[in-house]
Amino acid sequence: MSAKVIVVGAGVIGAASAHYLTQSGASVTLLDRGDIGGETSSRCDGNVLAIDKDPGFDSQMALKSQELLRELAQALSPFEYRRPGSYLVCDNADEVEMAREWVHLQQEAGLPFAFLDAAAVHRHLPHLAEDVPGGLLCGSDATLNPLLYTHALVASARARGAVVRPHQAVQELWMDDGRVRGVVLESGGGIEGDAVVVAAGNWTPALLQSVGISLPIRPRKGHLLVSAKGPLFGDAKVMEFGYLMSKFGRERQASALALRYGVALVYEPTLSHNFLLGSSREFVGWDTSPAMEVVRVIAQRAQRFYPGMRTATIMRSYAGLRPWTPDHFPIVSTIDRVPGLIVAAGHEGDGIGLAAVTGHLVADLALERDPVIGVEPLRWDRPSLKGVAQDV
Amino acid sequence: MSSQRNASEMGAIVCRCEGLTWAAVQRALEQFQPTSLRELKLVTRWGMGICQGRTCRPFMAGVPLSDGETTEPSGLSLHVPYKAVALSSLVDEGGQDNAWRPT
Repeated sequence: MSAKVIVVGAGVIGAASAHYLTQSGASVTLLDRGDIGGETSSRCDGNVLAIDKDPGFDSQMALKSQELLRELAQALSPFEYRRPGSYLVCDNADEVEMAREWVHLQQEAGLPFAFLDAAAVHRHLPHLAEDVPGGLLCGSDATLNPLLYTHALVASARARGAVVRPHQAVQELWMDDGRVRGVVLESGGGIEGDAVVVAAGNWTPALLQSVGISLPIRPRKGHLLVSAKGPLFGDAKVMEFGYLMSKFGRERQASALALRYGVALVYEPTLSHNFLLGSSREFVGWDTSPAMEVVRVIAQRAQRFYPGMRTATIMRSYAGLRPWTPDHFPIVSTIDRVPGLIVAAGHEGDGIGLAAVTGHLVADLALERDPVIGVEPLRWDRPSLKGVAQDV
Repeated sequence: MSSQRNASEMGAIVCRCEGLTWAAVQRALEQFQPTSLRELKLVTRWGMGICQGRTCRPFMAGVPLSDGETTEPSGLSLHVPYKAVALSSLVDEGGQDNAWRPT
């Protein structure tokens, strides 16, 4: 008889988990309290990046996910997948030196990186401001439409028998004699399963509190601006080098407001002939309405790198809550003292890019197979998550 | 619902900014089974063009959706800057911070 697995959360992580579980013959019920991909997975951009990962496990996990995603792009319904590579561009001479070192480390780890001096960066990216002194590129990076990707994964799971129930909130885990027996629904009643996967992003800690598990996942708000259809400023994703510094919380040179809101340039062209501009990173609670001041700082940062955007038309903005963890790694883990429970959450801004490898790993854990990547760095009780208060 | 039925008969464009036909909306309803107007928007792009739904929203608000298991609001909201503006106008209203240069 096939294993019965309940997946809580139909964002990109839960959707990918449902896909890989059904591929392996599991019988899946996929639940979400709202729409499919209705929260973080539809309030983001389409990053599938290795360019911003630390050399080592971080980048190897990203590369594995990129490899799996290439297979998914062949197998699933279309989700605007393409692989134009990505760039980091520098603001100043200090960043150029850091970029050179970053490329060196990545090349030694076997990743397809190249350093670009001033002449090269302007040859690759002719719309850049003249004073941009250098940059780098990563050839394996890809982009996609995140909500269509989530839907494509859900459709695949559905085609293999998954029961998909949006607008069906889980109230709590259903425990029986120390192990998870299923979930209790807010609408009343329960669903039984052999395993429960909690892939509820920012809402994961609240669901696990009732079983005495505390996870340091916190919502980190990020803004994006959307242009009208019009001329693009290149076909590849471009970020400023300071984006790395902002992501990892390291020191960088930028204006006071850019630092306050964690603003760093992100440029992403879409297949609909508009472009997205980001980004910001803030711990400001659960509100997803965009703030005008943050929108302005993002616009300023975009114009610093792309003077020609002055006349581009911006028509809306949106913001999402990235599920942050203290060491910037997701939690994809069984929990020894709660048999039957698997957690897959805390991907911050990498959920789209890491969904494939995460979904595969969830299926490996649920079905007790050899894992597709190492499990130790992603365990919920790893040392780098310990002692971090949830309300820092 | 009579205007939606007429659109079907005419094969009309229901969102002119995105060139979205009623037939494409019907295909999306079948393929994605969206449970809110916001979700329908994200999979068809209705209302995501230059007019930001000012033209098509009253029409699209009447589209019948799949049965969600509970009744939910549309999920649609309005976001700054509310209307299409030049990027420079956002920059220029940014105040003194805009004059910042690396030291």
